[in-house]
Amino acid sequence: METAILFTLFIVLFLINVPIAISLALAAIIVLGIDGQFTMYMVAQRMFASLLSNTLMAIPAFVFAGVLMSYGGISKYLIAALKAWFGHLPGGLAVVTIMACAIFAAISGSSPATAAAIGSIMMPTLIEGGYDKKYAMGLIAAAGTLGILIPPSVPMVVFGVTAEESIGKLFMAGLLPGLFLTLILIVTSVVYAKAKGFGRSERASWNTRWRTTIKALPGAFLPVFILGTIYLGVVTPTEAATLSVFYTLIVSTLIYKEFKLKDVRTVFRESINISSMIFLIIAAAQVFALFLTANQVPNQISMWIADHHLSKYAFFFATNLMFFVMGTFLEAVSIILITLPLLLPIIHALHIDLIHFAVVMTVNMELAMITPPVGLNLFVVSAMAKERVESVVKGVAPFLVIMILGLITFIFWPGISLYIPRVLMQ
Amino acid sequence: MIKRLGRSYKAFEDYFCGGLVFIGLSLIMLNVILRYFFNQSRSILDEFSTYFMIWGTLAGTAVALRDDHHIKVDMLFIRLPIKLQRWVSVIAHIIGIFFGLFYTFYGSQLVGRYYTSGQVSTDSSFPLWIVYLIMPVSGLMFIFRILTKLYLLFKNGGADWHRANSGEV
Amino acid sequence: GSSTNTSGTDNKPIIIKFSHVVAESTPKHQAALKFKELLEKNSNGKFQVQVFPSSQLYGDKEEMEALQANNVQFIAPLSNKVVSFSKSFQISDLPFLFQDEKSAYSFYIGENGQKLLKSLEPKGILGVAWWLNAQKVFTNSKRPITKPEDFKGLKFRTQSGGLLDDQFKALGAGSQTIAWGDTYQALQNGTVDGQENTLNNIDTAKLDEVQKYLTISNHGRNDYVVLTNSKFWNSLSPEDQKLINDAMKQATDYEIKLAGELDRKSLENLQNRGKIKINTLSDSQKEEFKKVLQPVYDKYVDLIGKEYIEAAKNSK
Ligand code: NA
Ligand code: NA
Repeated sequence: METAILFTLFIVLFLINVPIAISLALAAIIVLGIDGQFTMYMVAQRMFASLLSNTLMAIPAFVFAGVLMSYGGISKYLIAALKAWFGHLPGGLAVVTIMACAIFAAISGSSPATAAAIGSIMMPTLIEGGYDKKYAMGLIAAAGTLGILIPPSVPMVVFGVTAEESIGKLFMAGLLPGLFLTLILIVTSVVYAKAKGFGRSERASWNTRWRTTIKALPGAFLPVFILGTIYLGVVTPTEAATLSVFYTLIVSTLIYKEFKLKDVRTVFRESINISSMIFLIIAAAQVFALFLTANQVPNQISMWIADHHLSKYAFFFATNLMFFVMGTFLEAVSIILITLPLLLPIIHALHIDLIHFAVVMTVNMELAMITPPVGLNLFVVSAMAKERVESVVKGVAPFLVIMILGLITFIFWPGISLYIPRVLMQ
Repeated sequence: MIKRLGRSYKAFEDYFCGGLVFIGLSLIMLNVILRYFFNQSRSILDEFSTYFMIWGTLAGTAVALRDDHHIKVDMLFIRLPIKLQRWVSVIAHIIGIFFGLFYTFYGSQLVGRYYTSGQVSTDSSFPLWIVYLIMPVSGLMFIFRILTKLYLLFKNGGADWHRANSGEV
Repeated sequence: GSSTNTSGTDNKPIIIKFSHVVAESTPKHQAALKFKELLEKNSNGKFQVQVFPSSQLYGDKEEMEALQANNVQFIAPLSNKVVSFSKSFQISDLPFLFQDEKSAYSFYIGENGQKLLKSLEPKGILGVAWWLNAQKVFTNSKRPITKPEDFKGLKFRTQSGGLLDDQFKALGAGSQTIAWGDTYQALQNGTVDGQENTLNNIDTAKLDEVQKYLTISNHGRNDYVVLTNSKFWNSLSPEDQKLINDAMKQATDYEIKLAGELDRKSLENLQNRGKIKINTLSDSQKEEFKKVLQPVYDKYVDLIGKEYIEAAKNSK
């Protein structure tokens, strides 16, 4: 009963345009308050304590590094180099967009940040190249979602903290599926661009190719550096994120000389906007989750599942359907924090590999970024292209289908998620 | 005069929150350097880097509110007539104020409890009431920002708000 | 419902929430279940105990506050976590203080151990029992440790800073706090050379795959303290308090038995796997360590309390 009130309140609040974080917190606060036995200052305590984790600090750090990259010229030079090599091929600009997103994703932990950083440069380039605007918008929104599958990844940090699973392992697990999805996107976009006769850019001279590549190297080295340090275990994910902040700072001020003192405030503001938005959702979702656990909702669900002898694949089907529906109107962090504590006991009981499940869930969260009404990548691209969200949705629809096929592949092929963690961890 | 104060406060918000996070990042960096080049590290740096970053991001919830960065669901909202949108927005902001008040009130109560119990952090024995002081502080910053947004909804009978919100996107 | 009815009238059971942060397979959880079973049975259902394992309800950093707020009625943290309320609880971390497990047990059930449990009363917290877990040992990947000099230049993972940092500093080693989940990898890749832990943690996390030497030092202890809050406690009739105390007493014996078995079983597992070289510090070797670690004692004697330290030293 109280649980029903909780969810009803939450839905009513977000429907009247109260921010999702505040809807989560207030719904829980009201239900805990009605109960009368709960000491309310513990809500404040829970909000603070839910952030009190060294691991979670990877989130603001990766966000900070990502914002710095957009201002410091790293993404600009990266795209210039990719364009020199692949821009003249059929569908070449689409390939450049996808590859740039994949490389940026290996530095940034966020999908909207990836879409914004690459899209702001590639959107005009694609349109100049004769690409249909709707297609360009869909491409950027979809390729941007790689941001959370290719490590590092904010949702994976949240997943790891919630499930007490090694962040390094989760990151490694996302790598192959991320590259696989990149490849599928590249293949389909080339086929599509060829069929539609979309244009290409001039073939660059070898001289230009090498020049732009050398210019891009300091930035392109960053993914190797981040993944390398995490995989080697020399530093924690949070420290790797911090190192990348200072590395980016040095490259963009000393080598590229693109980052000026006047940009400090903008970088501060943009990183704070993203980090604080995520952190408020985390804090609020933990209050929400507190109510659910205190009322033993996870146990009840587990018992129900046990009584009904759910199979592994029925579980995958049910959860993926649930993630998809929730993903239409919620963003990744809140979905993970609301559902994962409820699902963990079942995952355990059904002997599903947690790492495999994490990858599947992350791909689901990618879909959440591009499904309306609430899809962060849709918003970013719509604002960037000055087009209605609806037309971005139309552009992204074919990519959505491709990504769902990718999701199905990852569900039935655990090996692709588990191969690297197994090889590197044992 | 008021406009200038507003601009300065806005700058203060940006530098204060971003600065705290940056200090936190610098402490993590310092710890890595200490570990690799001097074979020592300080758990106190781990602890305080986390504090600084939480301080910055919690205070930053007001910045994200100011810049409209908190994610909202507007599938129902945008289908309403613009006049109704304004009133729904007013209600949503008042609800936000309730949240701010709750957060600030119980945050202060928490600070008070930590102060009287004299509880300290596990690693560095730092008084926890100082650590939690950010809750009432960020709560007040948050409430201030909602109030300014609410004011905009009513200013000139809502004319300014209508102008800002009638265009698509 | 989540209501915590403390009056227990009208046939509505009194709900006790027992929250802890470790897995269901551990002696701690098993003992909490034993407590639940006994109390529910002996009270004819007047009490209903809900046990929340694995930080499901409250994590390490908030369970103490949740207890004070009476949002939970029992928690069982590692005793050194209580240090944020009282420095004296660091006593189990003080290196080479207790002679062996038996002396730790005698200290806990003795006058000073019980006094320590009661010392939290001004903060609204009551210590109910000590649940022994296990001794701590050292592992590392560089060399067998027999004397203090062997620590020179090594880097160790610790679970928290403060006293443990000082312990390694006095031994000439570096230390770093690393989350337990990241420890295997940190050891594998040489971020740190060694760590200190219970045999069971070393066994279950398979740290012998990434460490070469294990030194049974028994230099400190990881024990739990079961806490309740005075608001809840004082709301109970003396008869109910007695029911709880009786159930807790049996649960405590059960826990100590399980923990002891687990410690021995894990040592056996490590020996059988044969991947790690094991040595045990002799009493005379321990004396060498005590000398080098004197600065730690000097620094913490007033913080922890001289009487407690003396009592622990002389505990047999
Ligand atoms: Na990424
Ligand atoms: Na969505």
